Amino acid sequence: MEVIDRQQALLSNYEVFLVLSEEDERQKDVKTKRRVRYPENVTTLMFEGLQYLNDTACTTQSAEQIKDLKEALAEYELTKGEILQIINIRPTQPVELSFIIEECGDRFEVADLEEMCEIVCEKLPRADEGDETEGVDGEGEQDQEENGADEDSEMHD
Amino acid sequence: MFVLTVLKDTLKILPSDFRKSREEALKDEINRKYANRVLHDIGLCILAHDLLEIDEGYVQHSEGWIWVKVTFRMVVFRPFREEILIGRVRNSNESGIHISMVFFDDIVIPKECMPDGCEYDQKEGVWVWHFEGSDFFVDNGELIRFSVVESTFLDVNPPRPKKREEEENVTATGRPPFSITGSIAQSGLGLMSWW
Repeated sequence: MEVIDRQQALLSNYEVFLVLSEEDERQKDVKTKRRVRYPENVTTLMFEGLQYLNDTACTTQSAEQIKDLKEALAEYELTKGEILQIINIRPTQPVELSFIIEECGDRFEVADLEEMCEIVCEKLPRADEGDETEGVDGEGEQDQEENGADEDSEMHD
Repeated sequence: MFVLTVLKDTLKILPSDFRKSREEALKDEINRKYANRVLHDIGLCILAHDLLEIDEGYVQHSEGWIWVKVTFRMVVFRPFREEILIGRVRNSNESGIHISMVFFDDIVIPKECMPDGCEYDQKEGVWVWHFEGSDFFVDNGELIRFSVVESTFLDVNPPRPKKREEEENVTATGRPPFSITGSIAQSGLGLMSWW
């Protein structure tokens, strides 16, 4: 086995979610046609990977949304890693941006951070959050925690 | 947290898989060999992304399967330094907080990477952050946001057949081949419910 390129590209959670979902669909499709058992490492990984990603913001994203978001954030000159984290974490408050962006206080004003949060909410909309205003911080996380709590009890089974 | 890695390997397609298309058979073989396994210094392999190059394949004279040289791209879990990740608290002990991301469990936040005022509560078995007069508990099962300090790869030997005297030693040093040290010292990190 030879490593040609250790890191050819960074992938967003959305892209990995796509890969896992498509493989999941394909495996289910194959299973309807013939009896086949996929090896345990594959099934475990797919189950756990999808379980984790289903709890994140990537489930409602699309390629167009991500492209729009990148264009809208272009004026702020963020690094690749910062944009990737914004896509993955979907920050909705300036404090969440403060740890994603390096030297945030030096590079941006609070007004800029608020603008960025608005752009994120606009370009990556989610049905369970509706209109985000600064004071409301519990809704998204509460939904996540409830889903997560359900999944935890499933795992213990 | 995921990267695309280009690998090259020689894989075999068994006669029982000749009914599959070449691409499908190779992808299944790649997943069978690499999924959920750690490659040293590279990361945790997730799934094959796509195939870049396939050669015609050859059959050894004493065997019945086809060997194919494949260059392919693999989705690999390898967070970069200072990346912010979200997981759940698995359990805590004196060495630190252990976090799970469902598909990856070997994440630890040691005391040095916690904010000032954190201490371990022996009675409850959880870490507590004393801040401005309030106590913030790091309870199990809670969502937690942390930044990656470093990824550690250990070159682990393949498991040996256990002899009676050695058995205890082997299980005691069950160190993972790939582990992540995280930090919640920065403001905004820690349990999502704190902010």
